[in-house]
Amino acid sequence: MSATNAGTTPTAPQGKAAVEREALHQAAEGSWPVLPQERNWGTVGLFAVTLSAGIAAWSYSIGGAVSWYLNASMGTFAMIAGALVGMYFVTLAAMPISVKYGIDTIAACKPQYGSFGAAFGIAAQYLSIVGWNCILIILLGRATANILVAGGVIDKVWDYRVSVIVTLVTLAIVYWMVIGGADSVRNNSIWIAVAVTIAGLMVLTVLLVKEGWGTVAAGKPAYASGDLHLDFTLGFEILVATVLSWWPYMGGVMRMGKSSRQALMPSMICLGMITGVVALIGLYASLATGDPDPSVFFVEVLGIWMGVIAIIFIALANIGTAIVGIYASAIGLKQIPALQYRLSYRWTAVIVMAPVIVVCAFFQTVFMAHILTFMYFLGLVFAPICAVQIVDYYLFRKNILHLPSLFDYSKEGRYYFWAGVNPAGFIATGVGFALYYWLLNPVTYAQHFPFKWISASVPTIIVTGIVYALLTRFWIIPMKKGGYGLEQT
Amino acid sequence: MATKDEERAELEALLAERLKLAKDPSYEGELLSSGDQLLLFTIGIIVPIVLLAIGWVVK
Repeated sequence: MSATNAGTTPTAPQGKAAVEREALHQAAEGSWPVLPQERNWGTVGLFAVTLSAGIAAWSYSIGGAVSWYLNASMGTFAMIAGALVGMYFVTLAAMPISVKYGIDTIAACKPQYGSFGAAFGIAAQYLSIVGWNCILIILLGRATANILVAGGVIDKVWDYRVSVIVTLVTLAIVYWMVIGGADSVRNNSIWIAVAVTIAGLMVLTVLLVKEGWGTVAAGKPAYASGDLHLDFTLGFEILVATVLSWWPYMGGVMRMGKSSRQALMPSMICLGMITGVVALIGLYASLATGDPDPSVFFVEVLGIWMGVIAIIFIALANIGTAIVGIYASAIGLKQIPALQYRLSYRWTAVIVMAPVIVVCAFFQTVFMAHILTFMYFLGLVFAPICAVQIVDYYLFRKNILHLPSLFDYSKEGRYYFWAGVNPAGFIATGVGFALYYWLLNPVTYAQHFPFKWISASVPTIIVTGIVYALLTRFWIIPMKKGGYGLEQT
Repeated sequence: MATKDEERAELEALLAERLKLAKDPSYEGELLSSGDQLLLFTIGIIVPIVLLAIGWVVK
């Protein structure tokens, strides 16, 4: 974002101009609201950024996970349906607020969790982005090592070490790109989006031509329970849960768009449906080869030379997604008052990337062994958050927030509640956690009976929303907390 | 050379100025219309229900 976009006056003293530039810097890379005239991502820019984020190698892992339960035809329908449902709730919860006020996702959750309680959203955002970035970067490292082993370039005993080295080099590249800020995200994403779209179609075509639909369709799910209905719901739930984790990404990207209408299709199609579509590559390849690990089946299906092309595709896609994620998470961290002025954007990016570096360097195998647990936890965490945000914004606040209170941490701020925390938001979210955990245990994968009929994320959203509505209506509003009823003032 | 506190105070004043600008409704991004909401509901709920039904039938 250039200084000219902010309307800096030519007569302003140099010192003032410098502060003005800093203000712009804060608005684009920090937590301040971005005004409409500064939201310079047009429809093409939004499509490009969301497409490059949506086409990511984590989708291969998602498809691989679904292949444990479903065959190709049922998996295809369950995955696309799950991706759209998950994205519906995320879009409804996060997109209109960010577009209307030019704010990121964390600022947007202060009215529900409180001015200080919104740190919970920061933690959820931070951990999910760390988790996804670990998957992205580790997949790239392992796939590269597998290609080198298959090509005889390195011995099998070196593959883990090579994987670690590749991941660390990739992280260095990602850091270099992400410190460029908002313009860096947009400019890099445009060419990455074009490249990954072409490469993704190529990979899918080669997969079907080489293996044939017959092989893919005949593939048997490795861990099918024998109850087709249950497996169908599990496949659906994996997509709903994982797509819900777009929540933290939404504000950082969508606030640069000019209208909700402009952002609607990029959100639903480029983030939601594309996640399901790209995951189909993982599903089909996994069913064809019997190995759900994308770093293995890419080499197995495509061979050495096509595998090299696939690695380039994975590298482009992953770097694009990683920079968008780190950018969104850095904006979230800068919502913490202590970091807002004291920590530079570069150091904020380092904080976001540090756990990824540690996992990539020391815990690759352990992390990847628990990938499905991570995916279910995303549903457990983000389904209640979306529910609380939807009910609060549409039902109680009538699409109106008090912008100054989003940046006011004093008792005078409308979103201060009690000590900066809205207990209704946390109680309702806690009930949502418990319900999800009971319906589908993310650690043991055990489910209770209603799960196969109603899944886990969707009922969690409904129940959490009802609990939040009751608590707000009969407790928070009568106590005159939260600024309810003051929307027009 | 401004101290950190001075810099912060100046930035906070700029934030206040920015928030004042944002108070004007014309500074707000456009909301979803009823038609947009309907489109969103169709893509996000109706279409998935149809897809799930088809998936269950074709198995």
